[in-house]
Amino acid sequence: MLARRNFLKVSLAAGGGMLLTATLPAAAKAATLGKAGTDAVALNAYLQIAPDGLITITAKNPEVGQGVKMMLPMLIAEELDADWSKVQIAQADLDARYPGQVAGGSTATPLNWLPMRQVGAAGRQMLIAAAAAQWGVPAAECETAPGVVLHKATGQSLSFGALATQAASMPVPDVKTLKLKDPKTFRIIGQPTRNLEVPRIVTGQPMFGIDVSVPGMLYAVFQKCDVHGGKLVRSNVADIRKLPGVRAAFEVKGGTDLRGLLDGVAVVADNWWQANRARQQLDIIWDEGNVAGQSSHDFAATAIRMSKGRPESILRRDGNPDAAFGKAAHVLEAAYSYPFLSHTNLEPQNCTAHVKDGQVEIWAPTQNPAPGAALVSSTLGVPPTAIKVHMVRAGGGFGRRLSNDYMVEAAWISKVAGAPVKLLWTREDDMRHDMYRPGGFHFFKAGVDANGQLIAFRDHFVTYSQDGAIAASADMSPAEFPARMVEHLEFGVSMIPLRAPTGPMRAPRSNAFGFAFQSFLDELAHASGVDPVQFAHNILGAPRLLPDPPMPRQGPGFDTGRMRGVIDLVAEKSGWGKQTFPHGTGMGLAYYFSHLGYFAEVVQATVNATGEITVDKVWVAGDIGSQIINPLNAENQAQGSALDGISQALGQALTIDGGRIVEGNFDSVLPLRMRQAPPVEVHFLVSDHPPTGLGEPALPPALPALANAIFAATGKRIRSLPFKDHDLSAAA
Amino acid sequence: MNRMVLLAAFLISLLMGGSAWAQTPPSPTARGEYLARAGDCVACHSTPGGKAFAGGLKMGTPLGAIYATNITPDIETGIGTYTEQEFDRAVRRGVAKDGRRLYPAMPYPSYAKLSDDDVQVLYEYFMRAVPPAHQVNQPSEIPTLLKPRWPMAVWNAVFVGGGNGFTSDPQHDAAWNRGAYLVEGPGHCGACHTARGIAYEEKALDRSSLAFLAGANLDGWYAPSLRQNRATGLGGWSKEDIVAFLKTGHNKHGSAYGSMRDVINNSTPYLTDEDLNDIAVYLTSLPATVEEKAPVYDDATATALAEGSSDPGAAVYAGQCQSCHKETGGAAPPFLPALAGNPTVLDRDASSLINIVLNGSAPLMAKGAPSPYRMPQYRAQLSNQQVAEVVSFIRSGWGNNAPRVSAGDVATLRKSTDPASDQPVILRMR
Amino acid sequence: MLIGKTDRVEFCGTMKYSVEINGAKRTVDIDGETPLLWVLRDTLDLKGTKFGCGAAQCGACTVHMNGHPIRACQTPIASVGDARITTIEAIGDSKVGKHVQEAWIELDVPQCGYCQAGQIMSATALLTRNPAPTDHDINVAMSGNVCRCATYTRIRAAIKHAAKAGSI
Ligand code: FES
Ligand code: FES
Repeated sequence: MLARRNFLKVSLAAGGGMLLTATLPAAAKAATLGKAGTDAVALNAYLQIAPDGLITITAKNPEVGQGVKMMLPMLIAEELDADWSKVQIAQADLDARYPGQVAGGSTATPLNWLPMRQVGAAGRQMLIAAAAAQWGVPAAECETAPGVVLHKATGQSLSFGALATQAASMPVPDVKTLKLKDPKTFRIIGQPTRNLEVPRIVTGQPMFGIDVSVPGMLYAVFQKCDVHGGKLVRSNVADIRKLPGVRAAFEVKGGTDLRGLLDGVAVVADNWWQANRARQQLDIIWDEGNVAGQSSHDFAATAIRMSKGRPESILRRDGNPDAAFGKAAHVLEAAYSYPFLSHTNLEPQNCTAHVKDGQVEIWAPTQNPAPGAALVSSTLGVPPTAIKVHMVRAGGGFGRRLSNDYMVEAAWISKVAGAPVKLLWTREDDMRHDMYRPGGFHFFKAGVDANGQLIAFRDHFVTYSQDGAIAASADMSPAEFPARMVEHLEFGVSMIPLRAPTGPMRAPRSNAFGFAFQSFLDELAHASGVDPVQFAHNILGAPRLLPDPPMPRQGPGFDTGRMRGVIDLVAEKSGWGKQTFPHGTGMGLAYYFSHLGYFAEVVQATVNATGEITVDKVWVAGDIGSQIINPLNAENQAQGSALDGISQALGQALTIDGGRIVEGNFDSVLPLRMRQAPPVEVHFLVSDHPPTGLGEPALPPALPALANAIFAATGKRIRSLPFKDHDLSAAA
Repeated sequence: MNRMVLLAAFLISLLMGGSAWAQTPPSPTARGEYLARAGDCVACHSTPGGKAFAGGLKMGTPLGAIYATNITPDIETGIGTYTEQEFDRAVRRGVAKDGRRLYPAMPYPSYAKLSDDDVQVLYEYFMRAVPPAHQVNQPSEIPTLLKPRWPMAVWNAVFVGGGNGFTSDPQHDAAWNRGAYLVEGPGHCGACHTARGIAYEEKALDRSSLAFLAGANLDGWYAPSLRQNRATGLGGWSKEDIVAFLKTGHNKHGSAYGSMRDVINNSTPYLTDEDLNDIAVYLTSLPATVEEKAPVYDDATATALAEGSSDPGAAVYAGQCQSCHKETGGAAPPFLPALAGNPTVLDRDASSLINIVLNGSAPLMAKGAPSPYRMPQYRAQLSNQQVAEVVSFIRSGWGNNAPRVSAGDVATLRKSTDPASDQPVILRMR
Repeated sequence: MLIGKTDRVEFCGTMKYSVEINGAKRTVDIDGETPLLWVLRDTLDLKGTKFGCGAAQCGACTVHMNGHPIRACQTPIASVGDARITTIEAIGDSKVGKHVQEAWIELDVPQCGYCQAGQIMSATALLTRNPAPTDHDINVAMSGNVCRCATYTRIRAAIKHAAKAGSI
């Protein structure tokens, strides 16, 4: 080991640039050295190189199945010019040295595309500097091949392993001097690269949050009020303490923040089954407050009533839609709705925590560790510096794990129980205490002129408010498509008060708006006798960039040409318009722009005489920029996203009744199953734009594409989700 | 309020706990509470999360829905002003204080057999131990034309007679007689297990008729025969099997479902071992209605499942059922019921089986603890045709020999039934 | 007063159970109602078998009992008896299991990976019984296993890949 080491600190500056600074060696004791052992040398906070050439790259972001634990190291390894077969990957803890440790919004690619490559390039430059110093030749004469530095003129070469020690003592290069590779020479980026975790996954190695085990650990469950925010009045917790295996059982007085620690009763036992069995014998009297009357049924009735009046507020108005409807050749009105949804991560929420002597250690499958640590800090009253968070592989994220309620629960329970505990929720806990994808209602009216051009559009969006403000993830952008492409347009909003926690779910807002808007646009195409692809062309018009309006979500704008590109590609690949189908079978198209990705999808579906829907095939075309970093994972993500959309469309809904969620498990909220899963063909359109993320944007078009296919197959238009609630037997 | 659980059991368990019972005679109130348990009054006179005995439970009858009434001692809305005589008249004759006739959903034809002493302690319990709850009774939804309750008087005259008490049978021992009293009287088992006639009357009220406890269809469920029929009744059950079932809702032959779940959740597990044994003694004495062959296990079904069968029902079974109920149809009794030789599977009337497949089952509670395993619902996952196929497959597999069911049978039940809650429905007694 | 172990449910109570897991006899002292899943995970520290629903709806807990795929969350330990239990940790000891694992790696099937142990157990049972399954066979055998990340396309392909590997 070297006495003196330099470390790079890479963080995003406010303006979006990158900072590269040296930090203190003491802070840099890498979290997980893995096989690299004690001889390994750290070049910076991301890179460790062992004398035998084994390179350990630290992946800084939470891994929830999106493949970021592979993707970020691939960027570093590429610019380092590493030999990929000698690379192993370590998971970072929550650590101030790493910026943006979040899994959300498909942001990992756009935010890290340059910085991670710069980290690798800095490492490479330090290795070259070390070699040049040994050989006494100018660094500029040296180059690298995978895993080695070469000096062609003298024919000398040294492996990275041999150079590591000296390289670590080289000055950290200025970021401005770094030379990045020409993408044409990429050897790792762009190669279909197998996930290094898979061998451990397929042999059942412990690696998920639920698998964490620490010495002396006990198991905990936590019973909250199924009416969100209900307060604990009293319980028979004293009786529960005497049940077999129970080590502690106590009441918890929480706050009013539905994302924080809530009232409940914790049961801690020698194993999870005992804890949960004891918990099932709890008798708790709750004060359910005044929301116990909330029901999905009433929400729908309220929305319909609201739709008859003027919207409470106008989000956007262009031109004069009312006058324009009068000039349209075809005018259509329709009401669309979608339900609340649960994220249903297959691994239920869990967290292991150990609170001892004012120190808090946490192992959490979280998408967003920093706010979790802050929540623990404020709730337990411990300074942030006393909290250590280990990020553990999560069995699915989908946005649920952006909230850290389970983290603060585990920490609290550990503190009171005085032992390390693993808190694990049941599936029912998970479904009934989610940060739900908010439901919503759209009352549309639109007019198309005689040329098949959409000239007037109105949406009265009825959504939910929470404590007077719009509920989380229940808002709509004034730039929602087809705004900016229709001369006369109005988006109005009304809100129904809600007391249930809502939050982002994979492709938030888009996952629902896509269904409503793209289904309605398909209705308009058919009503005006225009092929949906042509109708899309008509709306999009000439290729151009439409800048985003200021707030709430600002991006680089919407490129109509890129949207058309993927529509044309998916039409071509699916043979759109080239086949005629028998009654009962049809194709539907939908397209959507979200999270910087442009996606168009075609679904072919068949409805049989008993009304059963078979999804025959899905074609996906996407434009996520100039570079698909790992095509093997990209295809998997796009397929999974499209099928996730199909899954939501076919079988998922939560019902609120008496203020509580009725559904509790996968027998009533139906996940897609193998027998329902169609083949999904994925095509990417490589365009001259910075690479963007893929966790979300392939999802939104899948739902409306399926709805549109069912219309093509049967003539029946489905305007509410899920499809399982619609009887199609008469239509088929 | 949490509808999840209750331990209200604790007082009664204290009182009933073996030796305590023998040494100090329990108070009249405690005996009344015990009897209220035996009669499962709470099952109808409370709603989940509602106040104990305050009424409100909706019950379907062929005439329309009616609501159970408030039987707490609240002066205004309950039975607070009832004298013991008036209470007796309601319980044993079905006549309310104001002279109105009760609908026969109140099992007074059975309660007519209650002893004077038991009526008295029941009165003590309701008046002294049950907290008064102010809750106005809901009017029934029976159409006005049918509403006048005087036909009930006729009904009573014809079907209940003049309030026959229970007469013991000297040919049987005390245990048998105690069992007969509990079953025919407070237990009112016939309310579900005895078929009803055209006027909604139970076809028999005691052991004198073969129709008594011979099985009945009620509200989308088939309550099986409790007689000694070898395949479809209790012919294959030992007394111990019956006691285990009444205590826990499970035994090696099957698990409780439908309204028997409420009986297990609120009633029979609270009875003493002696009383449960006496019930078993009595039930095992009821002769079979027909000669039935006991089912003989046939492993051809297991083999067919292992090798892949072309039967569409087998495909559904393999995909949805087999991972728990096993290729052998043997499952894991008493936790998960066997399907081979299970009386509910073998009944001619498949309502219960179809109902369970469609709607799953709510957790059974025995003395405050839910059973750890429960059937999920499949109504959203399987079509009527698929349910019919898999139910027919189960009814003819492993030596079972019950008739097939049709998609139409499933469609009817799908319309008239609702999914079971995954949360135990537990009613508070105080 | 509370419900003691003995008067709660008569068939409950801690007892010694000797079960064969992955070829070795293991003895556990536990309440007989405890699902095999929790015995595996918490008592025997075999964490490869996952918990997803506890209601026989997701298949994450699939293990083999005498070679048949069963849901460990719905298998009381008291009911295991002499049966041979095989879990994901040992499925690679069988030729078919090994082929399946290799196919999963080759085709890079997992996303989050949480469901995959159960998927592999179901797929191995299928291929052991039926070395050349049709799409329909795959649908029947695999529809009890939910993949929330919806990697179904690759699971199907990997089963076919493993079937081919097995036939060579
Ligand atoms: S955990 Fe057993 S099937 Fe889901
Ligand atoms: S890979 Fe995530 S659940 Fe299957």
